[in-house]
Amino acid sequence: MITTSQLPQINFNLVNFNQLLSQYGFIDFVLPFLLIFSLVFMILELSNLLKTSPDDNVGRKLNALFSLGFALLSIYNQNLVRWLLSFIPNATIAIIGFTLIVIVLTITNKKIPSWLRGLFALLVVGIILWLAINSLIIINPSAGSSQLASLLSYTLNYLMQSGILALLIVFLLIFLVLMWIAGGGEKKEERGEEKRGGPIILRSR
Amino acid sequence: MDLSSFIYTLFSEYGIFTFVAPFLLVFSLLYGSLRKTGLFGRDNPNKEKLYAIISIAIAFYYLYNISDVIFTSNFISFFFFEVLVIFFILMIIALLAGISEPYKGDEEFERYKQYSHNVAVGLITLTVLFAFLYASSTDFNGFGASAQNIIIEIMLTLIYTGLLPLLIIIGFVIAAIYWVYHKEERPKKKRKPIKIIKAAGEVPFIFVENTSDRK
Repeated sequence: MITTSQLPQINFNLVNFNQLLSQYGFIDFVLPFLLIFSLVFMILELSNLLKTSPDDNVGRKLNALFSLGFALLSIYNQNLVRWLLSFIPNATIAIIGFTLIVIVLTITNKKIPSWLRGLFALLVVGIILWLAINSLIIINPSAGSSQLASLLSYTLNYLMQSGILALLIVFLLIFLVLMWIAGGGEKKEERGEEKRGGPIILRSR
Repeated sequence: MDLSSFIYTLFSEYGIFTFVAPFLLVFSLLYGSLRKTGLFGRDNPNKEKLYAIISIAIAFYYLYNISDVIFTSNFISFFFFEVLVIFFILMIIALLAGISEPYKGDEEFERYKQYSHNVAVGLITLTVLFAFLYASSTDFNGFGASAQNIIIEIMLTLIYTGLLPLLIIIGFVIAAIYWVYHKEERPKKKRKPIKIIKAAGEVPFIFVENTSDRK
């Protein structure tokens, strides 16, 4: 009987290809440059921001120059390259997932019901935002130690230690209870009106 | 040293990142804006030369302060990341738009949709502010420091003078008074959270429709 250890070993060095791409600056330099340049150029062309008319050739060249400068200056911040490396693969998985949903629904010849469409959209926004924030936090864990963040935590500590936060929570609770009590009567009235406006046969009983 | 690091170092040494790129960015922006607005008249024969000289001069002034250039780099890179996130959202929404029908609600739903659309536009505008805050938080010694100091000074003054709790209490009182008078003026209408959620969900589809309709 042949065991797994006796099987011929085949080495797939998948990492090497990625390493090769990284080594030649394809992932760190060429890809982000192309992505940034094309996206910014497309937005500028759509918005006609620097063009005097849609056929303005000088305006198009200026758009290209602006995009070139934008792309080069963005790459200068190496954090962006890391964010892109972390975010884009995960976001692409989300795209693939939703594409599969679309494919399955196309096979079954069913459409997403109109009432579910909005919820799907909110789900998409939530997932992509979560992935983006995740990649920002993972790549730059010191983001939370900025001066603004420390000031916010200081303010929160101050509110907690001085007892103002507890006071505010109590006030908020009282306010909510007041709203609930004051708003309850109108709901009952509305229900009463609804009943009064029902079918005549029911009302006559 | 691998090739990517070599390119990066080479570009840094030859001033591509700190001189050429920011110059191109600012020059094209200023020159294009001046051309578009036609600030020196449409019939002036020397206007193009004047626009070019003014743009070059301002661009060089901008390059004089290196910390502003680094701030701009952080600013636009974070902004681009946000644009990319919006781009990904719109791509998936465009996929879903093909296999779903828009929700046709009543007048109230349409109103909520309009409100949600306005809120979404406001949030998208805020991406610039987020990018500015990021750039401020990473650049302590440069341009960002002064921007941060203003916010910090305001907050510390509020805390140390005891104005913060006072402001919060006054805010509560005003909210309570407004709530009481507001109810008397307007007849109460029951809000439907489901409709609000559905209206908010329709907003990305509106963005996709608007973008694809553009010529």
